[in-house]
Amino acid sequence: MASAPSIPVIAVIGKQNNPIYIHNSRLPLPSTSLTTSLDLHLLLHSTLDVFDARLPQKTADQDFGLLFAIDERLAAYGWMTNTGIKFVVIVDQGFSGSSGLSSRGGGLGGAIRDADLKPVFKSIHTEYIKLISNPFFDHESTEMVKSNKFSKAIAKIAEAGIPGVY
Amino acid sequence: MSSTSRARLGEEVWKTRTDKINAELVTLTYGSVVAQLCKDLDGDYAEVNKQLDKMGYNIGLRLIEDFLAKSNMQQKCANFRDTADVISKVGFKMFLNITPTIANWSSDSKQFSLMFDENPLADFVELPDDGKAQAELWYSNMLCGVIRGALEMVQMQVDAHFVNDVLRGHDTTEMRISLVRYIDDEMPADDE
Repeated sequence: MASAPSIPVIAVIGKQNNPIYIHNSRLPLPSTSLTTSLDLHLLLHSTLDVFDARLPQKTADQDFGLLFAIDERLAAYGWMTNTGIKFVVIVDQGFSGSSGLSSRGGGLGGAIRDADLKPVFKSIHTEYIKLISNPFFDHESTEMVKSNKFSKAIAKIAEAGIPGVY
Repeated sequence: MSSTSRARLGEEVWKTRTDKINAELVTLTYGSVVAQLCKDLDGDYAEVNKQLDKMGYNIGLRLIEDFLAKSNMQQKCANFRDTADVISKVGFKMFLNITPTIANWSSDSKQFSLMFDENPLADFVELPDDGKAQAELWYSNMLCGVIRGALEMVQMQVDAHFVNDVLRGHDTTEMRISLVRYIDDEMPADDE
C-alpha cells in the first residue's frame, strides 16, 4: 500500500544560513525520525552541510537533488540559487511498507526522481522572487519572513505536491 | 467620438506610438519611491500620500502635453462623462496599458469612480504590517496627482482620491474623481 508522496516541509534558508521561512504542515510526524520540531531544525541544519560539501563541484545548475534520505519515508531535496538562497523540500513518500517501492524503480528515494522536484523548486523560486520584489521587504532583516501572501503561496505549493508523481 | 472608437484609439496609440518599458522596472521603481518616502517621513503615511500626490501632479502637468500630441484628440470633450471615458480608454491605456472601469456616477454627472481591475504599480506589494499602513497609506496615490495635474492643464479642476484599495484588503481598487469647476481662461489681474 503506497500513498502518494507529499511535501510536509518547505524551508527557505538565506545566504548566511539564516532561516528565512519554514513551512511545516504536519510535523512532527509520528513513526518517522522527525518526532519533535527540534528534530526538524537539526535536520535542516544538517542539510546545510550537504550544500556546502557539494558546492565546489557544482556548475551553474541550481538543483542539488536528493540531499539525503532521512528514513524509509522521508527524504530531503535541495536547491540553491546563484545568490546563495537555499530551498529545502522534505518529501514524504508515504510508504507504509517495503512494497511501496514503485514501478518507477530504484531503492530508497527511488520512487521520486530528482527531476520530479524541479517544477516544485521552480515555483518556490517564483514565489520567493515575488516576495523580495515587495518594496517594503527588508533585505537586511535577520528575522523570519512574515508575509501572508508568501505563506499562502508556499502552503499551496506544498499541498499541490509533486506534479506527475502519484 | 464614440466610446468604442476611443477604445480603438487607445489601442492604436499604445501599439504604434508608445515607447514601451519593462513592467517590473516601473513597478520596482515606483515601489522604491514609496518605500523610501515611508522611511524618510518616518511612517507618517498621511504625509506620504501628500507627497505622492504632489509628485503625480507635477507629472500630470507635463504628461498631458504628451497625451494630446500622441492621441491627436481633435475635439474637446463635450462633457465630464466624455472626459471620464477618455481618461480610462485612451489615457490609462496609452501610459499603463490598462483600462479602468468607469462606475458609480453621481446624479449630477460630476463625480465618478475608476475601478482598477489591475494595477501595474502595485504588483508584488504587501503593505507593511505596522498596524498603520493598512489604514492610512494609499499606495498608488501618485495616480490621483497625475489626473489632477493633467486635467488642470485642460481647464478642469478636479479632486481625485482613492476610496478603496485591494492592498488594504478591500475587494476593489477604486479612485473617486469629482469635478470641482471648469477653469475659465483667466486674464492676468492687471492686463489692460
